[in-house]
Amino acid sequence: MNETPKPTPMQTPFEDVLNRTLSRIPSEIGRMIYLASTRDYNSGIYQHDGLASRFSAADAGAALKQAHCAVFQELAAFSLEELVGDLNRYIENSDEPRPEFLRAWRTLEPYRVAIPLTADPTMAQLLLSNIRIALEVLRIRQKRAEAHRSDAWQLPSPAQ
Amino acid sequence: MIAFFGCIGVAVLLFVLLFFLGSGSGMDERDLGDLEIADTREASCPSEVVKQIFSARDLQFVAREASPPLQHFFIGERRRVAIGWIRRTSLDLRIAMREHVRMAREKEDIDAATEVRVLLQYLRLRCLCGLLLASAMVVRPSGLRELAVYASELFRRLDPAHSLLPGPERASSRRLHSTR
Repeated sequence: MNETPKPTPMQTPFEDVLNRTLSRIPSEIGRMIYLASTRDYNSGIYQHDGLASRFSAADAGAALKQAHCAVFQELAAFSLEELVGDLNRYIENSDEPRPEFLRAWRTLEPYRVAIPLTADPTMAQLLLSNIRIALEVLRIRQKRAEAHRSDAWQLPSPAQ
Repeated sequence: MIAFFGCIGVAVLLFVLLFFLGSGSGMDERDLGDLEIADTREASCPSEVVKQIFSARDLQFVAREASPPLQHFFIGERRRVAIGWIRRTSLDLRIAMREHVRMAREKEDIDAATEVRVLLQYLRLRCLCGLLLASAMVVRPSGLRELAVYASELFRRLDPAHSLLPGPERASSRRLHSTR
């Protein structure tokens, strides 16, 4: 039978992950969560059908792992201010209302499973701690914004 | 006389700290999780990360938020990370020294002067770790930046000369502390 020939890859699997997929995700945290989601919970192996069809399963897995480690290192090097901005962007691009998002992340800590298996423990601990602090910063800002809105609602207008 | 007893007191304090530092690492591992480190572990914590843990930049950012509970939370979190790093460094140091002793036993031509120098460097780093640990419990981590960076650099410098820090063995024998 006639088999459809595979298109010749114009770029490496790693470049493919960066250019096709990660460039569409607007935040580093979003990228780390996405890459962690391609990792099998039981085996720790990265899988991506689209990428595997263009290259091979092994190459695709290696590229995803490399990208995951790179994104993790970048995030771990963020200052707290940068991380708060990045997390804010991630929340803005999610479909969840901000208070629900913050509550879920503070309670469930889903970001804990997004750390690469080979990460340096100190770097991992620092990043997770920074995410907890960033969530707290955003929660306090959210509370202040709500209080501000409530005050503005109760204040009499200048005409009264 | 007072100075003499002061020195004795400091020595006893450091000894006690080293004891707790040694016994604390096991507890820390249980506390941090049970992920076993793989052989594929990347290079150990870079100096930049140590600088970041003990940096004042993030504290200044948190201070601008003008929320004392947030500031308190931040300091607690950063202190936990700092103590984790100190304990891991101390653990790495003990593993490296154990490995060095094992290798020295197998050697036939031991240079006594080198061994004494390695032992002194080891003790100096253990004391530094003890001092850092004690200080991290009472002082904000940002106040310990210089000392922490110095300890980190010293730890790295031990490697090539005396094979005190065997690379692959170290990576495979350590445990990955997860976090918190």
